[in-house]
Amino acid sequence: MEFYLQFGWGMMGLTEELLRNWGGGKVILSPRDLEPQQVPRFSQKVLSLTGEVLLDPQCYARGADHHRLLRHEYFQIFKSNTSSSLLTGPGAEQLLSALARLVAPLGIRRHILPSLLANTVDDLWFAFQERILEEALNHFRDDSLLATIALSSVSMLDEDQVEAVIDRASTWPVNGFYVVAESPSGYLVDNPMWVANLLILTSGLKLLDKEVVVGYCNHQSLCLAAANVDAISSGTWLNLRNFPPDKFYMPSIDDVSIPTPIAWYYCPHALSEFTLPFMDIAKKQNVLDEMRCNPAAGSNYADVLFTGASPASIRWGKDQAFRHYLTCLRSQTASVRKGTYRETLSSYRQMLSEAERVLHRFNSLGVFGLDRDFRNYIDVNRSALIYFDQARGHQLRRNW
Amino acid sequence: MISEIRRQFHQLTNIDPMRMGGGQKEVFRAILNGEAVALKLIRVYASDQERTEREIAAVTKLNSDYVPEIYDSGKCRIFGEERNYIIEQFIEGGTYRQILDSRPVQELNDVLFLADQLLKACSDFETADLVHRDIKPGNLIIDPGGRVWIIDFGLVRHLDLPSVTPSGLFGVGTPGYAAPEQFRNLKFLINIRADFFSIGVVLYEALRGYNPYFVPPTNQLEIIRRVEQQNLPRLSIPGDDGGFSEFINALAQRFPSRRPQSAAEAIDWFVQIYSRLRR
Repeated sequence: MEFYLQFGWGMMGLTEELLRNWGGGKVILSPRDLEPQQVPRFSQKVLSLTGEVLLDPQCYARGADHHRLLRHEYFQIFKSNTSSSLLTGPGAEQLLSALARLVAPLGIRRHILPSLLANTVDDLWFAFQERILEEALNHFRDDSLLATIALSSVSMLDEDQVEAVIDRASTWPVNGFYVVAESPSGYLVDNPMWVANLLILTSGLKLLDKEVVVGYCNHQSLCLAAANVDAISSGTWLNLRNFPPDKFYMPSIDDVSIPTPIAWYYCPHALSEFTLPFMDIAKKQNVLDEMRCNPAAGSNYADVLFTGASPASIRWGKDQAFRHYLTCLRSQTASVRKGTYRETLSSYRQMLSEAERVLHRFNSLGVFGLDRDFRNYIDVNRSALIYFDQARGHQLRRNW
Repeated sequence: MISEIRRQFHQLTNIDPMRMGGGQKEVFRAILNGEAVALKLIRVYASDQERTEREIAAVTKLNSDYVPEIYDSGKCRIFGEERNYIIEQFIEGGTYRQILDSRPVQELNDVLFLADQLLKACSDFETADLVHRDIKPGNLIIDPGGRVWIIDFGLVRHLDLPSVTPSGLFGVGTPGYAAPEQFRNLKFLINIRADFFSIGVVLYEALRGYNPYFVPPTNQLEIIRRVEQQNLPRLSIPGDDGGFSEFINALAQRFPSRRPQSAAEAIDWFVQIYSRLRR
């Protein structure tokens, strides 16, 4: 499975550094987090680092009003056209034209198409998708098209809606799909049906013999290897590791909160993140070294935490934490998919069991990951995989 | 009536009625050139004429060992009333419905043999771009040699032709055997997978002893609702290592994307099961 960087606010320097270290990579650009004039400049930078750029148009909500999104011409067109104009009038053509103008200098040959977030999967949502497709075929004739499938948490919890998407998507003349799914519970998902439906959706799309990229992922998404997904994408802040539609709106004055600059250390074999004070507990309990990631993960961004001093006394901030997390996740993503469905499922289940064993040991010594402790989510993923295997296992055993 | 038919179809001898009176269709057994044939007389209704023609065209273009061959078809007048007629290969034997009524639970080996033939028939349908849409025990004839013959292509869908089913919320089929997408009239979704669903239900019924969608007894709308909303519980079949029950459940999945996607895929999967379980 491939790993893409989900671009977000403040990620330019980090992206350049990681691509340099990784020898290249793929980046999904975010107009919400880039001024119009930054888009071509930054794209060129990525390309120069042996990278590839895709652009997520982020047309998820007609009411979105984030100030940076509004500065993009195509988004102004999206906002100013009525629904009727987008569906049956000139709106879709104008939107795709403007998008084509934006991406023309970027060297993009794979296009993520605009899509509304489906609060309910219904004929109107399909009509919008298919209108956009119709225009996309005119504007990006020789290029690869990825239809965006953006589902609300309500839709994601409804198996019938998920299957309806697969059925309809089977008729779309695209090369692949870009899936974004609203979480029902914030960062990590505590609902096994949601996880199961994401597996069912992505595997169903993949069985159409198309490319499938899932955006706004985190380490809980590693299970998508069992769905034979081509790539997952993740980023730094939590709003890049799960899909929160409200990030495309300007926050009200009352809602603004200053993010607490807590650095979380990601322990890959525990599938959990820990704050530095809990790593101090780990040191006092003589298990700190057991939290160290395998060198094969390729990250030395957290080595300083294991040099002997108390981790909480070390200047190790979110910048290092982000780099460490993304490097480890990239490594896990690359190794989680195996040669067959059975092997992949078995390997991932072992990953969960190992995390469970490690966390049991850490927790018994007072080392907790708080709300990022994966012990609360291991059974969620396990349950989802059992249901998923019953739904799709027979197909994936034969089509891998 | 018989004398009128003899007058119209002088090439046929020994004409005996099999199904008479009322309904759209009357069926006679007869002899043509020394071979037993079935003569079907179908009342002409303007709204059904194209469907009847498609039924005939479907069977004519099909090249299948599991479908009676059509020898002749056309129009005739019986007592001044215009009828479509079909003269086709006569199949000795009873319907699978009659077999299940006399013995509700079938042997695993017999059901495996039935599945093998039905899937091969589906392969023939797929090659001809056809979907039967009405596979059920009443439309399967089992001849004395155990071969299955699929009859009644009255609801056949030609995938290479525009649909004749009126657009709207509800489609065609027999409740309890027809796939959910058929009743929802989701034409873009209807292909051989719809026939897989029906076959899955028939196989399930043959092993379970009853069609689970009919129990507890209820009206047709409720049966349709059950088909749309219920997953069939996995069967426990003596002599099966779990492979056949998994296969049947896959065929009868209410979501088309979870069934085998083609006859080749279904057969490829089934062949492995059959070779393991067949005695």
